[in-house]
Amino acid sequence: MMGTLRQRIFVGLISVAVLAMLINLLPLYWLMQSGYQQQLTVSSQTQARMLAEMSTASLLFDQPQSASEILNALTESPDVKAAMLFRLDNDNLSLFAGYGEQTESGHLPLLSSTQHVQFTSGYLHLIAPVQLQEQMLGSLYLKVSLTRINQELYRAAIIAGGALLLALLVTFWLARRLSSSLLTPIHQLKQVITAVASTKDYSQRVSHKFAAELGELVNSFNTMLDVIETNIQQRQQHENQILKLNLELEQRVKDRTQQLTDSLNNLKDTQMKLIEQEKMASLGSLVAGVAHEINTPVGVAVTASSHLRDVLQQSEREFHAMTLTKQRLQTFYNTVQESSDIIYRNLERAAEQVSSFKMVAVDQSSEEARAFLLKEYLQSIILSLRPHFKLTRHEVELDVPADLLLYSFPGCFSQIFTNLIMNSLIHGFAHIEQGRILIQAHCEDNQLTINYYDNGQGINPSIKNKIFDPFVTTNRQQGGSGLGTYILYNLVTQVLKGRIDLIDNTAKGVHFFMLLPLIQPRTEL
Amino acid sequence: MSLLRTLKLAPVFAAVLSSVVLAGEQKLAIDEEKYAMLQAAYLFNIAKFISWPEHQQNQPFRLCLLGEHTSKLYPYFSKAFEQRPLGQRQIEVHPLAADSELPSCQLVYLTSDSSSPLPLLAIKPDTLRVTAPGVAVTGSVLFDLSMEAGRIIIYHNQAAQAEFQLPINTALLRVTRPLPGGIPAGAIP
Repeated sequence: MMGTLRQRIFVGLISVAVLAMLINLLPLYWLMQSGYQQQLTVSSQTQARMLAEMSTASLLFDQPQSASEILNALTESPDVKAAMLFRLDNDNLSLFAGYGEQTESGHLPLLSSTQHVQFTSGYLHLIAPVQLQEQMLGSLYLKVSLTRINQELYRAAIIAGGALLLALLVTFWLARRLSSSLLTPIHQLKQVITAVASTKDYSQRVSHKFAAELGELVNSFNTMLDVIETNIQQRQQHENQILKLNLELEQRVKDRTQQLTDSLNNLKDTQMKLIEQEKMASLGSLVAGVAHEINTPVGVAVTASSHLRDVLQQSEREFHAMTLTKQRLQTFYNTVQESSDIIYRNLERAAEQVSSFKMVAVDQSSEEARAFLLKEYLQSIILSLRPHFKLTRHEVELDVPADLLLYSFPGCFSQIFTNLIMNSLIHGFAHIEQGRILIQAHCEDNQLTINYYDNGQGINPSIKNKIFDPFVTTNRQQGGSGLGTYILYNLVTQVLKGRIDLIDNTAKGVHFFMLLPLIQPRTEL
Repeated sequence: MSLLRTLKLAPVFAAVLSSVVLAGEQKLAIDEEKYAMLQAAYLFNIAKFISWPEHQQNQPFRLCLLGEHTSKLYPYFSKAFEQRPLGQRQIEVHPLAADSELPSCQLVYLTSDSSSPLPLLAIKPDTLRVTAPGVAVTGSVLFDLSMEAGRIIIYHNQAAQAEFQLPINTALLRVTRPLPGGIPAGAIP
């Protein structure tokens, strides 16, 4: 687990110091030890070589006393604890002279033409041959104590330990100074950061001055606080501006919303007015057509009645003048007969027109549910629209069972089919001489299925998907309001509680499919 | 014990001989051949401790015998050195008949007192002079072999050391004894 920064600095520096000292001291100690051993080895080998050479004559001339005197010279070498001179007799070595303690030569071979050195615990063992002109005379064994070397090494180790301890003390002092010089600014920084974090007061600063990089760090930190403080002030100003703008925007949105609401209400009012106008226009068109139709028979009847009145006045004047002849009377009777026939036929025709108009007009205006035969009613509608067909070669065909009885709003049916037929005449058959409209209706599962076809030029593909939307028309320049199919859709879906679809699978013309209930609930619109 | 083995193991031989001497306590009782061989061994070993000149290394080592007992020692010496070279040099035992032969000797062994004194002018500074036991030391003799208490003792005539110009291994000097009242070089006995 990591400690504090101070602890880490202490541990790090002391570890580095100890490691550095050990890296330096251990090889030094090892070098010193091996150097001492090598030095001792060389000096011992030299000493042994000299002793061996000096002992040759003693061995050759059988002078053990001389050999002992030679070996006794080792008293000048306190490190040599023992020396033994062996003489070679019949391939056997025998002790010829000795010095110091009698001891074993360890694992070294006593007879060898070369020197052998062996270190054991605390001693150096050395065997040197005693030769004269390549003649092996014997061997010399030296036992040299390592005490002095060990003492030197021990002293070196003590010095190294002292140096290590001193280094540790210096390192400890340096670590203390370093941690103090490092941690004091950091501590100050931490205090200011904590204060800033808790109070959000970015005007606080580290007041102390520090040297070198830490001073730069503190200055940078203070500069950073300056920047943050400035930024915060700017941000607050911006936030206030944004808040103000938001308030203005909210007010603006509220105003716009109110304006849009008003506009929507106006639009709805306008739409309702337009719908009403369209209905009235439809009714007006119906009235105009019917008036036109009635005008002809009524005019003929008026003309016939006027002619009949003139003939009657002529006959009356001739009767009072007594100039009325039988032939004239017969002519008068014939004229009266013809005129009355003309008047009757035309008035009958007008009455028929009025009856149809009355039925359609009343249905459109009253909008009450009642029972009616669909085919008969459709014929009345077609009849009311006859003026529009009169000068054309277009045909309307009904494929509706004669006994198909509905209980519904006939006014809606009138408006629906008036719209459909007038759309076919105005748009579908605009460039067609002989158009054909087919209206099929039948009952299925207590529902009325109506298919309306024409073989006109069809609906512009650009408005097919929004044909039932309000104000959709390709004939606005000629006065089309674009509300016809919208009203149609509303009448089918809202009033008759049915559905209407534009079937887009006909190669030519239009196909509207309607599914309506046979019986509408007794509810007035 | 063969002579060859005796020569190879001179110290052993010396020890054995010493034992013999101690047992007899009479010089005359010593076997003549062994005594001669012992002297030969001593001379051989003494010669080993001398650094002979390099230019002589290719020549035989001439050991010259001088004195009355030359004829007696000669056969034994010849036998003793027959197969025993001094380093790379064969040892030639030569009974000295005339002074003119002295310059060719590397070692002159005086076998008796009755021999004429060595002509000083004829002795070269690189000729080693050794006297046999019982022989009085003359002026230029460097080493004197002496039989004492059954042991051969080597005496070193330090006065003659200055005349001998070849290096002597100090190990040899360690086993020698200084000649009491060393005879000065050139002195006439």
